[in-house]
Amino acid sequence: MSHGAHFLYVEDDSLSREVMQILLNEVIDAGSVTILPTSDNFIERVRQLEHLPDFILLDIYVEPVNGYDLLTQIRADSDFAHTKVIAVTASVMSTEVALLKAKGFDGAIAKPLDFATFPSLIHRIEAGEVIWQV
Amino acid sequence: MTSQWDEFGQLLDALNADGTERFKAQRRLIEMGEIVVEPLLDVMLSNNYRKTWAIAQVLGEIGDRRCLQGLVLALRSENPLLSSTAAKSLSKFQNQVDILPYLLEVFPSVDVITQQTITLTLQQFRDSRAVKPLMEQLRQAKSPVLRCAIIQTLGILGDSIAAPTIRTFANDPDHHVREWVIEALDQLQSSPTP
Repeated sequence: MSHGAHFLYVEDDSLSREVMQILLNEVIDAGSVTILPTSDNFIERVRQLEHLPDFILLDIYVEPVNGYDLLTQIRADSDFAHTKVIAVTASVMSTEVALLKAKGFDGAIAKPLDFATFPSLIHRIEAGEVIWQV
Repeated sequence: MTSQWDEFGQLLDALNADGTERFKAQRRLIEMGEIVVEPLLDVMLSNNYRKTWAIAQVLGEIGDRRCLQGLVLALRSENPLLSSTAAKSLSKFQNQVDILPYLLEVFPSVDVITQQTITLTLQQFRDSRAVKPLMEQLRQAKSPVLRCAIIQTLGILGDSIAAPTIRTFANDPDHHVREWVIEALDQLQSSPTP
């Protein structure tokens, strides 16, 4: 159950941030929701949070550090060993999915985010399923 | 009958729960069917985000004509969760009623989140009447995610009349929009002439 889970979303698009905020707060009933519009000083900022995230949702083309490099930072830090890292992407390129898998993401969810399907995707990911819904 | 309404009250409460409990309540309300349509419509128009979202999904599944009216009303809600879910649920009526005019009518006046959902819903209808209104909305779309969704939908709808408008976004500042321009133009090129 994602009830009470802690979420962090890094996203430069304001519409996607707004949708995610509604989904996580109003539908998923997250324990905490932190949304960052940029990725500067990422690890440092995450460490300052009251709760380390259970889920990190990453836009790939966020700036100044892109999602791939953020993933490398996260994977290099043992504090995030149990954190699931999900790519959130609007990419049309099927090659991107292969790259996301190769880089070690725990899954991917397509933008625009879908109010009807997103909650069940999160529940499935939390239950251990690997989702590549791009 | 009393016990049925007791159960109804419990199910409404369960719609506020997370995950499995809410899903079970939704399934039971769908089973109860027409009898719960009116009370669900009353509750849907309240301001409880999660409950309204869950009810709009249930009404779409029940498929009663009264649900249709309620969902059309909900399309104009200022709660984007409700209006977006209403748009999605309305698509389930497409075989009974022509839903497209409702969606196109509200499109310019709803919030951008609902516009995004309506755009994705229009992909399923594959109805060429949506092409010109979508072209118009594309010209006005400030959100790159909405521009992506509209361009993607125009590609799927397959009417080459949209190609010149799509092409004007070839140098869009957002790289995903530029990707979708290429994809949509490819789709239009390979689509049969309408």
